[in-house]
Amino acid sequence: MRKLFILGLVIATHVHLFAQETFPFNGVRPKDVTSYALVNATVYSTPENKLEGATVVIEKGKIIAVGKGVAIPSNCVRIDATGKFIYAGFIDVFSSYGIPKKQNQNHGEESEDSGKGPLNWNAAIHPEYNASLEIQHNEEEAESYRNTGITAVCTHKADGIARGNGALVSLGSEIHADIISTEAASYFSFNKGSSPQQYPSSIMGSIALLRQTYCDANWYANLKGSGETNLSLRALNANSNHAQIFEANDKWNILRADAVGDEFGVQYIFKTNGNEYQRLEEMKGTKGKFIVPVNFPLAFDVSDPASNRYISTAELKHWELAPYNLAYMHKAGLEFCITSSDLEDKSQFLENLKIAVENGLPADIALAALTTRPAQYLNAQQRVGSILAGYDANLIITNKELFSSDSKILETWVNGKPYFVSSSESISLEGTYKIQVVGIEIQAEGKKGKGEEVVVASKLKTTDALKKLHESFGSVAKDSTLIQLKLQLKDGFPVGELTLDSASFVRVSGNIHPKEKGLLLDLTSFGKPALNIAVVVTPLPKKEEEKKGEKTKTLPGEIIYPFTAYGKTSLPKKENVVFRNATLWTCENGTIQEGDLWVKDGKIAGIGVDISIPKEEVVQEVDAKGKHISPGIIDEHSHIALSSVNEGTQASSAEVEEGSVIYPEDIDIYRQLSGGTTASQLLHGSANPIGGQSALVKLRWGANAEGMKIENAPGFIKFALGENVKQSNWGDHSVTRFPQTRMGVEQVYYDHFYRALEYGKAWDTYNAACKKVKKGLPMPLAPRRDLELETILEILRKERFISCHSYVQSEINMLMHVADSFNFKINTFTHILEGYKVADKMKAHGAGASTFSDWWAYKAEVKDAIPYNAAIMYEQGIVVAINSDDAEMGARLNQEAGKIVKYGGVPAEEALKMVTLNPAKLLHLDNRMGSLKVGKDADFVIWNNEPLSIYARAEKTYIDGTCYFNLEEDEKAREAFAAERERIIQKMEAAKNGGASTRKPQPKTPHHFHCDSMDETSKGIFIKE
Amino acid sequence: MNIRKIFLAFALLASICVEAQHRPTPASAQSNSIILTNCYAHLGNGKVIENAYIAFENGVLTLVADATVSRIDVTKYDKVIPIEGQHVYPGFIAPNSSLGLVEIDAIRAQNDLYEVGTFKPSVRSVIAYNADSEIIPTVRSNGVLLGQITPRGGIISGSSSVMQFDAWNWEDAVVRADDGLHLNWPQVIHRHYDKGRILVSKVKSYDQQKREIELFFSDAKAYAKAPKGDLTELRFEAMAGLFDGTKTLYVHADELKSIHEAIQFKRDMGIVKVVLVGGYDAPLAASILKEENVSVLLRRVHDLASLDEDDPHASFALAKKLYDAGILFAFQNEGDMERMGTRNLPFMAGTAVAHGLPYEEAVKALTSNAASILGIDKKYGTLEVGKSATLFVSYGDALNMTTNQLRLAYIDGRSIDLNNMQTEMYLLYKNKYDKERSK
Repeated sequence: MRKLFILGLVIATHVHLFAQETFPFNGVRPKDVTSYALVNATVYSTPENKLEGATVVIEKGKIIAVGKGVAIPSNCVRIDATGKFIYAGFIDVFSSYGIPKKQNQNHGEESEDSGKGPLNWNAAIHPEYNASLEIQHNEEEAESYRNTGITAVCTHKADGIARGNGALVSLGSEIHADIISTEAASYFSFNKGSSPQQYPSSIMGSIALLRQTYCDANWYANLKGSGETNLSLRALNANSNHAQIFEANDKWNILRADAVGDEFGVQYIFKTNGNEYQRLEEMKGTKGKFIVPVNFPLAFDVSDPASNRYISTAELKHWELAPYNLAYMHKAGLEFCITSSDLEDKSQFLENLKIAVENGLPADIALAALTTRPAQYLNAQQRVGSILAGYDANLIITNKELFSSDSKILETWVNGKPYFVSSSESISLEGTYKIQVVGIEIQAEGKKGKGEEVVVASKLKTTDALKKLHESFGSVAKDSTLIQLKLQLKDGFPVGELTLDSASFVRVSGNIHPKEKGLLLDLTSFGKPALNIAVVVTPLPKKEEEKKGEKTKTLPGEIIYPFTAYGKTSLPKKENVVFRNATLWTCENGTIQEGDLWVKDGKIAGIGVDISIPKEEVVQEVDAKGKHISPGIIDEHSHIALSSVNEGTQASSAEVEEGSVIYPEDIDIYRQLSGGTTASQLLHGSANPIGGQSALVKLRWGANAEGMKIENAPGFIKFALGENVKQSNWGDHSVTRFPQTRMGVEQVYYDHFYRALEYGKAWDTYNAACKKVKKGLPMPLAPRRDLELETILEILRKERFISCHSYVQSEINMLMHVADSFNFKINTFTHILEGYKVADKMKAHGAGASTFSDWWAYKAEVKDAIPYNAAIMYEQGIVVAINSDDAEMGARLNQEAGKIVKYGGVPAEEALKMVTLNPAKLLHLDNRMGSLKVGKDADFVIWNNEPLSIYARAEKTYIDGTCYFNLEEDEKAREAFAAERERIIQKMEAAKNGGASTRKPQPKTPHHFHCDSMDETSKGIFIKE
Repeated sequence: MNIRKIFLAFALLASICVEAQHRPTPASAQSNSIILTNCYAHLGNGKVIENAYIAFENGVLTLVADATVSRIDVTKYDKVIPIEGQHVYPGFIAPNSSLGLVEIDAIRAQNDLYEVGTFKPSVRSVIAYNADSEIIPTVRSNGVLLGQITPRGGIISGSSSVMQFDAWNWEDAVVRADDGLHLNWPQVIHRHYDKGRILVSKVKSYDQQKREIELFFSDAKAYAKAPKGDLTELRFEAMAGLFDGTKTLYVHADELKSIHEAIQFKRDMGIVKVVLVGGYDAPLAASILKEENVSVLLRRVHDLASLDEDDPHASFALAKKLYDAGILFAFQNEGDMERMGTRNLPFMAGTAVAHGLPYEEAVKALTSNAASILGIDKKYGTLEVGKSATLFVSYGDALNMTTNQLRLAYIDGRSIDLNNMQTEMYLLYKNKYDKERSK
C-alpha cells in the first residue's frame, strides 16, 4: 500500500492541470497521456455486484474498463491492489461546499418588495439562484469530504425558502473539471434565512408563502410572457423537473412540506434530521425519498442524578434509537440516501455508517444510499455512483470490506486522480525484537510500558562489545547490564531512548519500513554516543479477538407515540363499555342520577337509567357508582400543541393556518387530558387585526397532526382588536405599522373585505366566461389565486367563522357594524371582557362569547373586566363559553366554569355547559360534541366528584370512546418511564466508560403560548446535534 | 344649574340605581360587641367546632366556644348574628404578594414592583403600598384579608411588610412593617448552546454571584456588630435584623441545587430565620429543610409541572408532599396575573385538598401557618380568644369556588364592605338590562 501512496503523490502533481483548456498555461503544458490499472482488487461495481480479483482501468479521468482479466493498455501504470476493496465514490446530495456564506440580515423594516430587479417580492423566495455561479474550489473542505469517501456533492446555498439550484460537483482540485451538472436539484426549506424582510416570521408563514409562490408560479405560467416579468417565478416553473429537495430536518416538518407538495403536485425528497423512525407510517405516507444524516446524538454526562432529571425522556430514547433510524426506515420500505451533513466531525461518517449497518441496515442498501441512489436522485446515474466503463473515475479504496469494524479508507480517487487518506495498516510496536547496536545483538519481547510506550528489556552478561558501549556512554560495565529500549510512535515515526542499567541513556529517533510480516526500524541516536540501531520487530501471533457479533446485543427500547414522556407503545383503542350508576351531567337533558352511559364505536350508544344492552353486544360493564360523568371539556381558545402562534408581521395574515403547524408531542396535551379537556380550538395569536386560520382538534394523545384534527370541522379564523393589534404594549419603537389606533383597525377590515369582494367578483367573471368559451377555443386567463383574499372571501360567503379577540365595547360594536354592512355575523367574540356592557347588542347581532372567568387588570383595556361578565351575557341569552388561552388553565377549565356559579349565580348545569356544549355550539360542532346524547361522539370525563367542584379530579378522559387518560395508569406510567429512563441512563454510563464523548444535560425551558406570543418556538424541531 | 348641582343630581340618581362608589369605604373601629352564633368554625389551628359561638369586642376575640358543650348568654352582646351552619374562617393570608404595588400590569406608570439594583434591602414595599388599589377589594371579597407585600427583582429585592386589606392609607394598613428581606437565589445551572448543541452547565457567573452575596451578608453582619460609626450604610442597617432573628430571610428558589446552596448559606451565615419561597424541589430536600427549621411558601398550586416527565399535577400535589414530610408551609401566588389572581388563593388550597392535603391542613396553610411564617401569629391566623377578630363568614365552603360566598368579613373587628368595583359594575349593568327588560 505504501507503494500506492507514493505513486499517488507523483500523479497528483500533474493531473490537476488538464481541465482548464481555455486558460493560458504558465510553463510547459503537461498532457494527459497515462492511464492506470488498479489490479487484483475486490471491486463493487455497483452495490449488488461484487467482483473478486478484478481490475479497474482509468484513463483521462474516466473508467474505461472494469472486470476480471480486462485488457490493460500498454501506456498503463499498473497498481497492485491485492487485498484491497474498491467502491464507487460516495455522493452527498446535501451540501453547501464552496458556496460563500451570506450574513443574516434579519430585523429589517417590512417592505413589499425585495428590491432587486424583476424578482419575487419576498427575498426568501429566490428559485432563480444558481449555486454554480458562485461556487469556488475549497481544498480544505474538499479534502474533509474526500477523507470520508465522498467524491461528489450537490452543493446549494442553504438560505431561504425557495433556495434555487444546486450544482453537482466532484471534489477534485479544479472546479472547471469538477462540475458534473449545474442544475442538479432545486432546494427548499421553511427557514426564511437571510431575507431582510420581516415576513414570514413563523413556520406557518413560511408554509403560506411557499403555497402562495406556487399559486403565483401557476398563474405566471399561464401568462405565457404576456404580462409582467418575474425571473423567480419563471425559474420555479423551469426547474420543476429537477429533483426537488426539501430541507425539513424533522419528522413533523416533513409532513408539513409533503402537504404543500401534494397540493401543488410536487414530490419532494426530504432532507431529514434522523428522527424519522419515530413516525415511520407517516413517512411512508409521503411517498417521498429521504436524505438522512448519521449524526447520532452524543451520550449525556449522567454522573449527576440531580441533573439527569433535565434530560428529557425523548432525548434519552433518541440517543438510544437514533443509530437504528436507517435500519428501521429500510425495514419500513422507505427509500433514502445518506448525507454527511449535520456531522460536526466528518471523520465520524464512516464510523457512524458502520454503527448503522451493525444495527441492521443491510450493507448493500447502505452502499446504494451512498452511491447509486444519490446519483439517481440527481439524474447523474449514467456518470457517477457506479464503477462502470464510461463513468467518472471517482473511487474509494479500502483495506477491508467497507462496513467491517476495522475497515479504513486508504485513498479516494476523483476524476482519475488519487488522494491519500490513510495508510493501510495501523502500526503496532509490540512484538519480538531483534536489536543490533555496535555489534551487540539483543533479542527480547517488546511489552507495553507507560501510555503508548513499548519497552524492550534484556539483561546481558558483560562482553567486550558491551564494555565498549558502556565506555561510549561514559559508564562502567558491571557483571551484567540491563539494556532497555523504550519506543513509541510520534506522527508515525518511532522515537524513544536507549538506557543502560536504568542510568545512562540516549534519545533515539528513526524510521519504519514495513517488512514482510514485520517492521524494520532504523534508529539514530541524538547526543552522545552517536549510535545506529537496527531493529527488526516480529509481531506476536494474534490472540483470538473477542468476536463482536457474538455478544448478544440488547435490543433498544420501543418507539412510543408521541415520542415523549407519557407516550405509549401503541395507541389506545375504542371501547365498547357501559358505565353504570353514575351521576350523568348530560348538558342536554339535565342531570341523571344513578344513570348508565353506554359507549360503542366511538359514539354514545345509550344513556339513561338502567339501560338495557342487546345480548349480542360484547360490552364491558363498569360500576361507576359515586362517579360523575360529564361531556369532555372543550376549550374555545387554546394555543397548546402548536409550533407557532403568531404571524404578526402584517396587518392581515389570513393565509396562514394553525392546522399546518400542529405539534402533537406537546406535553400540555396530556396535561389537559388529565384535567378532562378533550377538544380545543387552536387559535392564531392576536398580533394583527386579521390573524390566521384555526385548527380544531381533539386531544388524541399519540396521534399525528392530521389525526388530531376534528374531521370535517368548519373553518375558523382569528381576528383581534385593541391594544395588541395596535401594538400599544410593544414598546416605544413599534409605532409605524398600520394600524396604531382603533380607528385604523376598522379601516383594515373595510379595506380587506372590499378587496376580497372584488377578488371574488374577478373569479366569478372568469368562471362565467369559461362556461361561454366554445370547444377548442382558448380559455380566458384565470385571475391570480390569492390565498389571503380567498380566506377572507370565505368569511363573506359564510364559509368561515370569526373568533375575535376583543375587550372594550367600542371596538366590539365597531366590528359588528362592519360585519352587518357585509351581511355576515361575527361568530364569536373571544375574551370579550366588556361583553357585559354590550350584551344586548351582541344578542341582537347573533354573536357568541367565549370569555375568561376572572382575568382582568393586566392591561388598560381590561380595567373594566368583571367576573360577572359571563353571567350577564348568559342572562341576555348569549351562547357563552369559558376558555383558557393558557396552558395551565386549560387543564382545569371545570374550576373556571365553577367560578361562574360563584360570580353571578349561574346554575351549575348551565355553567358546565360553558366549557362543554356552548363551546361546541360556538365551533359549530354541537351536532356531534358537547353533550351526553345518543349518537354524539363519546367524548366524556369520569370525575370523582361534581365536575365543577374544586375537589373534582378527572379519573378517566375519553375521546371517541377511547380512553386517553386514566388516573391509575398515569401513576404506573410514571414508574415505568422512570425505569426506562434508568435503563438508558445506565447504558449511557456504560457508553461513557467505553470512551464515548458526552454532553451535559440541560433543563428544558418549557414554552407556553398566549395570544401575545410572538416568538417562534423550536418545538417539534430536534436541535441539530 | 351649576355643575355641582348637575353632579349632585347625577350622584343621587346613581345611588338610587346602584350604590356606586367604586371604592369601598374603609371600616371604622369596632364599637359594638358582636357574637356569631351556631357557625361552623374552622379555627385555623387544625381544629373545627361544628356548632360554634364566636364573639369579639374592640377588635379582639373574646369567645370561641362549642355550643354543644357550653352555655352561652348572647344577651350581653350588642349584636347577635345568627349564621347557622355557615362557615367561619380566620382571615386568609396571602404571603409573597405584590398587591398594591402594581395596578394595571401594562401601564408602566402604575408599576412600583421592581427597583433598580442588585442588592437593595433598604427598599421598602410598605410605603409604596397603594391602599386604594381597586384590585384589593376584589381579593378580600373571597376571604383573603391580609398579605405580605413584597418587592421583586435583583438579588435582594427589598423589604416586605405584612398589611391588612382595609385601610385609608399604608400607615393604617401596616400589620408588621419590614418583616423580612427577599433573596432571589441565583440560577446554579443554565441552558446554553455550544456548537449547535444544547448544553447545560453551571452558570459561569454563579460562583462570583454567590461570593458577592456572601460578601454582602458578611459586610452587613460586621456592620451590625460594630459600634455605630459616623457613616450610616442604609443597606446594612436594613440587614441587621437577619442576624438577631427579628427579620426573616425569604430565599426564593425552586431547583434542588439552589435549595441546597441556600441552606448551606443559612448555616454559613448563621441566619436565624429562613423561609424558602417556591420550593418546587423542596420535597427532595425535606430532611435538611426540617433539620434547619426552614418553612416553605410554596410555589403557586395552579402552575404547570416543571418537566414533561413530572406528574402532570406536580404543582397541585406539592402541598401534600410537604405536609407528609412535616414541613411548615403556606400558599402563595407569585407568577402571571398574580395580583388579580390573589382572590383564587383559597381555591388553590382547595385544589391541594383534592390532591390529598387534609382540609383543615389547607385552612391552616392559609391562616395559622402563614401567620407563623410571617411572624404575626401572636395576633392573627387562628380563632382563639385574645387574638384579633380577623375573620370572615362564608355561606359555604370557602375553598371551593362554587360555595365561596362571603357574607361578612372583619379585620380587627371592623366590619368590612365586601363590595368592590366589579360588583358595582355588575349591578350597574344588571340594572340596565333589568330595566330594559321590564319596559
